[in-house]
Amino acid sequence: MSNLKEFTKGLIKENPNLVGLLGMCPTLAVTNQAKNGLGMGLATTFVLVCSNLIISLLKKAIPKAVKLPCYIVIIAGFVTLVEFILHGYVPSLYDSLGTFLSLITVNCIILGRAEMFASKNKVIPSICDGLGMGLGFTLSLFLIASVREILGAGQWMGITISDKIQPISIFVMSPGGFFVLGCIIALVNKIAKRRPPEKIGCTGCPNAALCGQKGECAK
Amino acid sequence: MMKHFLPPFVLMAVCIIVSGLLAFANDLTLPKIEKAQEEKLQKSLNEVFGEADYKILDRSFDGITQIITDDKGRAIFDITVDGYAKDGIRTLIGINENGEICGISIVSIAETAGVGTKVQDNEYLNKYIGLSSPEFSSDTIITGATYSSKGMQEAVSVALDTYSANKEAIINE
Repeated sequence: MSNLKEFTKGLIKENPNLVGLLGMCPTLAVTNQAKNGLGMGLATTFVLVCSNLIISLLKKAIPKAVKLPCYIVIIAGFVTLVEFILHGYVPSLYDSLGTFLSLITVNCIILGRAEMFASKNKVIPSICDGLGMGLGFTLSLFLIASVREILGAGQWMGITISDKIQPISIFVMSPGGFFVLGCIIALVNKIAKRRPPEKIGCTGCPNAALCGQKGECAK
Repeated sequence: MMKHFLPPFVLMAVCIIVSGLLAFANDLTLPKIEKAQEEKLQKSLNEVFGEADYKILDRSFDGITQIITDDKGRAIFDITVDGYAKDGIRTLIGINENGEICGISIVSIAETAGVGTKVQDNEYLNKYIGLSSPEFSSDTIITGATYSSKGMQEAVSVALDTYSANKEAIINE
């Protein structure tokens, strides 16, 4: 039961991308085509599951002082493996993901899950957590990419939907990426019924010292 | 004592194991990667230039990945240029024995879908056919896809310049 919970929490409730707002760089960069979003998401899921597995196995063997460098080496190893596989078997995807494939190494979601979860939990829950978070990320990328591709290029998964509708090119460009991302985050917050706190205090506000509590939060 | 030596030792061990396993993975996937690359090149060649006896020249020129010659006196330049993305366009540019562009094929493209990918359209590529010197008219720049178009112009210039400067060497080899 608890393993199932570890798995499902990443899909919507704690979606790393839409709720945690992690991994924004690939989210905006590769989501101009649904197949790129899907490929990127699945590649990240693979790395996430494997690194969570290895890190939870090695959690006692790795000393605290070199924890992060060890995690990065392990993650980078799996990323390189994914690169080899995609380059050999799906060259077109390899070409269109370009440098963002190597950048999976520094994706905050992977290091975040390694540090927050895998290094503290047993193997099976860690795999479930990685799988859930990875699929949550994939789902989010696929959703954003589908909206952008349909509106911006008039295609979905590379198949032309209709020639009669003029595509709105701005959706495949960066501004469209931000716009679609914002709308989807709003939608997910609405579904999950998340609300901002009623009172926003001065603690943690970077401008607290300058403003001297004159702002909104003083009222 | 152990407290000071153990961490670097563990990190070193992790690095060695990971690199060792990657070397092994590289051995396994390298033939597949090379084969995929070769197939991609062959497919592009056949699409635009038809079946022929292709040979790769073993001389290298600046800015050109490789030059392929065939039994019909054509030289095909394999060039990768920056479009909107770094190294975004890999293209094959064919030049016939008169020094004119006789065909252009896009091997791979990592430009923005629906914008930069317009340079793949035959309608656009045909504007280069027959050119013998790198003087471009304004219709070789696509509105909204300036970077990708400039990348294509650069690739064509490099091919034509290299061809005219090394014509003998390329044809006779």
